[in-house]
Amino acid sequence: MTHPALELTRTELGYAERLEAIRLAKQEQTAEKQRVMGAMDYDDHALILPPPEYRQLVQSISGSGMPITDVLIKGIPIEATHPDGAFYGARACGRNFRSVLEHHPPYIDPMSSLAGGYMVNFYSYRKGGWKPEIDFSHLLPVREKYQLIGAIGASQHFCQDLGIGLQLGWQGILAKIERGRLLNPGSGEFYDGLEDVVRGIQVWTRTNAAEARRLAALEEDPVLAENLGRMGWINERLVNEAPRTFREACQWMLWYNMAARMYNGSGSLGRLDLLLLPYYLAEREAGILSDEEATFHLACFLARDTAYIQLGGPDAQGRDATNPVSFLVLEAAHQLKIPANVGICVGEHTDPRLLRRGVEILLEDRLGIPKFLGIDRTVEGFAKNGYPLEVSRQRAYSGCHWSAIPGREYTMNDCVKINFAKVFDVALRELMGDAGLPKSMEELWHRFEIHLRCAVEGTAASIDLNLKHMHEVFPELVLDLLCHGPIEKGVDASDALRGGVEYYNLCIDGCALATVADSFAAVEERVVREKRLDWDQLLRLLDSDWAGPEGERARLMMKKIRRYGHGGSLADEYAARISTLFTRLVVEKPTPGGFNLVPGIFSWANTIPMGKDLGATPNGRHKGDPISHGANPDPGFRADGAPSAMALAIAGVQCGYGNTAPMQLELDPGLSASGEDVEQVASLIRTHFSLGGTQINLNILDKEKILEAHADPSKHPDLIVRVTGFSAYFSSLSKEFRQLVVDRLIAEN
Amino acid sequence: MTLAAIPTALRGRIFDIERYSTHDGPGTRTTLFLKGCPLRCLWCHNPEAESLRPELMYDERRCTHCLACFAACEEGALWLADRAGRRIPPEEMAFFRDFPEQIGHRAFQPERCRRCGRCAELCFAGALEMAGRELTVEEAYAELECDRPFYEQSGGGVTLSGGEPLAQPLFVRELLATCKAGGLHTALDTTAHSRWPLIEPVLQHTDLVLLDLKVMDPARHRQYTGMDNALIRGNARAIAALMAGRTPGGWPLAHTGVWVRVPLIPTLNDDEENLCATAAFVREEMVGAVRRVELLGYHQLGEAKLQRLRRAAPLTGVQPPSKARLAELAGWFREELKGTGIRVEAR
Repeated sequence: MTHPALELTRTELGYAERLEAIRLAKQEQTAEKQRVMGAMDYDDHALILPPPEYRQLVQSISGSGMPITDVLIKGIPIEATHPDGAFYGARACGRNFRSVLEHHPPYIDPMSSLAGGYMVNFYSYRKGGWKPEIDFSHLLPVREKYQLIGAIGASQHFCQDLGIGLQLGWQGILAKIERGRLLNPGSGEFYDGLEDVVRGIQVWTRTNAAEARRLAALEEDPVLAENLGRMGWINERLVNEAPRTFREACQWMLWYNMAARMYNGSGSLGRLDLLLLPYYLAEREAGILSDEEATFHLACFLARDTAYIQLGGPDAQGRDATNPVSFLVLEAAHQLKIPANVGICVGEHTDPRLLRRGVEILLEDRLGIPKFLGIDRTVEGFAKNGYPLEVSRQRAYSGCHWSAIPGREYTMNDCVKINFAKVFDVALRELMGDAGLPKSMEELWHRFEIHLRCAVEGTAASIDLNLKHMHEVFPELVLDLLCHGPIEKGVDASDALRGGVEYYNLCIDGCALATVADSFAAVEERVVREKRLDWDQLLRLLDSDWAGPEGERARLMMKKIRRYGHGGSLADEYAARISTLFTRLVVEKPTPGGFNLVPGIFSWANTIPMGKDLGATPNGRHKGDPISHGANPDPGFRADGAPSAMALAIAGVQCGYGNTAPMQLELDPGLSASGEDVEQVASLIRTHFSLGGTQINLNILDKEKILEAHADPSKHPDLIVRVTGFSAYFSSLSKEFRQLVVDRLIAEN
Repeated sequence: MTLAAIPTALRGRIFDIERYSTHDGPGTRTTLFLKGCPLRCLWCHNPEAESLRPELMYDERRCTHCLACFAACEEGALWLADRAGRRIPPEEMAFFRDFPEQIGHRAFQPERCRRCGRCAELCFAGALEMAGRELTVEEAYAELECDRPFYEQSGGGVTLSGGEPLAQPLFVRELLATCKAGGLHTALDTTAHSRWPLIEPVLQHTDLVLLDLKVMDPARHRQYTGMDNALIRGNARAIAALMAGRTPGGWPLAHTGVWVRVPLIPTLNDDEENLCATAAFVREEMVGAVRRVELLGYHQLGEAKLQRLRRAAPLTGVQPPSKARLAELAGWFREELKGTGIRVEAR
C-alpha cells in the first residue's frame, strides 16, 4: 500500500524534498487518525490507519493501561483459546500475533529509504486483560481504597537489547530458539510463541519487500525507482540475514520496533547512537556513507516510530560515549519536525556540544524536542540500589521518564502509580472520623504515613502478582527475543520467580505531589495557625466541593498560601517531606516476593483520570479536577513563574534512586536560537541537574498560538508539544488535556 | 563587610522581587525592584514604583465581590452605601453580599487610607494587592541568595532596579555591599537622577551600571519625565569615569562598566535628533566605560497597572515599535558606535 500521491514536482528529488513529503504524509495520517479515533491523550505513535475497507473501530485498553478508541484490521483470524473468549499464554499470543503480522497490509512510502508502517495494536484483539482464574480479589480492597493504578496486567515498559538482533538477524534468532528448545524441553509453548513472532515478522518483511519491488517496476522517477528497488532487495535480505549496512541496521531495528509497538505498545529503543556507530564508522571509512545520507535514514526511521532514544552519556567505564551519530540523530529530528522522543544526556563529562546543539534545535524548532537527561544523577542514584557504577551506567533512557538496562532489566516503569492525594484524603477522613482524637497536623501526618505505607504495600503485592502470573496471561514475547535470558532459559522476562532476565527493579511512581504539599500547608496555615476555619468546617467545605459564595471564598483562601515551588514556603517543606517519606517507604523493603522497588515521581497522562475519582482537596482544588502534574508545582505557584524557583523546588524532591522526577517547563516564547539565549537555557538545564534534577521536558509555546489552537485545533495541525514525558500533536489531544497544557502556559507566563 | 555587621534595622521598601530575570544584566539574575522615583516618565511600565509609599492596586477582573475588604477597613477609606445613601456597617456586609443589587455606592477614599494592608490581606481572590513592602537588608539578601547556583552557572547575579534605587541610597548601598561580600555580581539599574554624594558610595559595591538615557534635549526631557536632565548628564559622565577606572574584579569585562539603556517610545523619542544626540553622548562623554547599548522597545504592560491604580494613562495611542524598526535602529546605532567596541542589542 502506498500513501496518496503528493503534489510535488517530480524533478531530481533530494533528501530535503523527500523528508518534506514524508512530513506532510505524516500530517495527513495524523489528521485521519483524529477524525476516525478522536482524541489521543498519549504518545504520538506512528501508527497508520489501515485502508478504510479493513477498518473496525473498537474500545480498548492501551499498552499503558488507558482506555482508548482503536482501529482493528478486519478479517484477521484470531483464535480464542479460553472459555471467556480471549486468548492467553505464550502459544496463543504468539500464534495470534503471527496471524496479525501475516495479514498486515504492506506500507511503502517511495520517499522513504525504509520500508514498512504499522497499522494496528495487537492489544485491541485481546478480550481479556487478565486471566479470570488467577484470582486477586484479596488485593481489591487495598487497590480500591487508595485507587492504586497499574501493576496487575502491566506490560512492556523495559528495554530490549537491539544489539542482539543486529548481530544475529532473524535466522540467527530462530537458531537460538531451536537451541533453547533442546535445552529447555519443558518450555515448548514459550518457544512456540517466540518462533511464531519471528516467523510473522519475516512474512511481514517479505510482503513489504515484494511490494517495494512491485512499486519500483511502476515508478517513473529514477531516484525513487532506485530507492524502491534497493528497498526491496534490502528487505528480502533482512527476512533472514543480519544487517550489514547503516541503512539495513536502521531498517532491521525499525521492523523490530514496529513489531514491538504493535504487540504491546513498546516504544523503547535506548542508545541508538551506540547501536549504529559501528556501521557508521565502517561506511564512512569506506567512503560510502555521507552524513547527509545517514541523517536521512535516521529521519526515515523517526518518521515511522516515535521510540525513546538516549543520545550521549557514559560507557560502562564512565567515559563519555557521545559520538557523531549522536549529532546526526538530533539533526534528523530537527529536519523532520514531527513528534519525537529524543533525550540527550547532560553531565559533567558529557560532550557540552551535545547540550548546546540540543538547545539550539529546541529554540529554533519550538517542538519540545529534545528532552534533557540528568545522567550523572540517575547513574549515581541507581547505584544506591546496590549496583556497581559499571552496571548503573548501562541503564538507557528508553521511555517517558525512565531507563532500563537493555536486555537485562525488567522494570514495569511508568506502569505503577500511587495517588498521594487519595492517600491524603483517606488519612484526613480517618482523622475526622475519630471523634475522640484532637485534630492536629502531627496526627494528620502520622495517618498519612500509615496509609501511604499501606498503599505502597498494596502496590508491592500487586507487583508480585504480576511478576508471578503475567507470563501466563500475556508474555512479553517480542521484547523476550532481544533480552539476555528468556531464549536461553525458556522463561519470559516478566517471570521474575524463574528469572527470565538478570535484574528486577520495579518502579513505583508517586503522583499529586503539589496537590498534597499545598493541601498540608493550607491546613496548617489557615486552620491550625490562623484559625480562619476549624477542622469540621474544612471537611464540610470539601464535601460540598466549596459550594456557595462562602465556600468559594474559603477555597480562594486555601489556595492563596505560599505554595510548593515558591521557595522557602511551608508547602515546599511538605513537598520535601512527602518525597522523603515516600522514598523511604518504597526502598526500605522489597516486595513480599523479594523484588527491589524503585521510587519516582511522575503522573504521565494520569493527571486527569486520577483527579476525576478524587473529591475536593484542601489546596483549593475542586472535586474531579486534575491532580497536579508530576513533580511540578501547580501553575501560578509564583507571580514571576520563575524557572529557577521551579528548578530548585523539583531538584529538592528527587527520590534519588535512579528513577526520575522530571521537571516540565514552559519557556519564554521570546527566546530565540541566538547565542545568549542558547547559553541561558543550557545554563538553566545544567543548574537543575547540578542541584539534583534528573530530567527536563521543555516547551516553548506562543501563548496566542496555543490559545488559538485550543479553540480550534485545525488552525495549527503541526503544533507539537511535550505533554508530559511524551511528544504529541496538540490537535490530537482531548480538550481536557489541551486545557492542562494551556493552564501551565498561562500561569507561567 | 560581614553579615553580622549589617545594621539589621535598616529597612528598604520594595514592590517586587523577580527571580530568573534575564533582561536586567548578564546571565540569569534576580531583580529587586525598589519603590520611589523622582521622575514621572510618560511611558513608565512600573507606575506602582513612583511613590515611596505603599499603594493599593485593584484588579476588577479578579474581584469576587465578597465585600471582605469593605468590612475590614477601619479607616473608612473603603466603604459601601445602600441605595438610600446610608453607609453600611461591617456587621451588615453579609446581607449585601447576598443581595448585591441593594448596594447603592462603593467608594474608595485614598486620602483616608493609611496603607495598613488589611483589605489586601483579606482579599483571597487576589484582586486587591498592596504594592510595597518593607524588608531588612538581611531579609532581602536571603531572598536574593536563593538562586546563587543559577548565577554561578550563567554568569549572572543580582540587579537592583525600581523605580529609582537611588531614592533609597542607604538601603541600596548596604544591600549591594552585602551581596558583594557574598561573592555575588551586582548591577544597578538607574536613571542617575540623584546627588553624586549619594551615588558614589553605592557605586563602590556595583559591578555594572545599567544607565537609562531617555531623552537628551533638556526641555523634552522635562516634558516627558517631569525633570530636566542636567543632573543626569553630569552624573552619567561621572559614573562613566568612575566605572572606566575600575578593574573588573574577576568578572568578564563585558559584565562590568556601564550598559546604556535607551527606551524607544515611538513618536516621542525615536526621532533622528534624539537618537543622534544619544549616540554622540555615549561615544564622546562615556567612552571607556560603556560595554553595551540596549534599545528597549516601548511596551504597554504599564497600562494594566495604571488601571489597577485607578490612574489615567498619561500616554495613549502609542504602539510598540515593530521588530523591523528595532532591527533598523539597532543597525543604525551599531554604525554610529563603530570602532568603539560597544555592543548594541534591541528587544
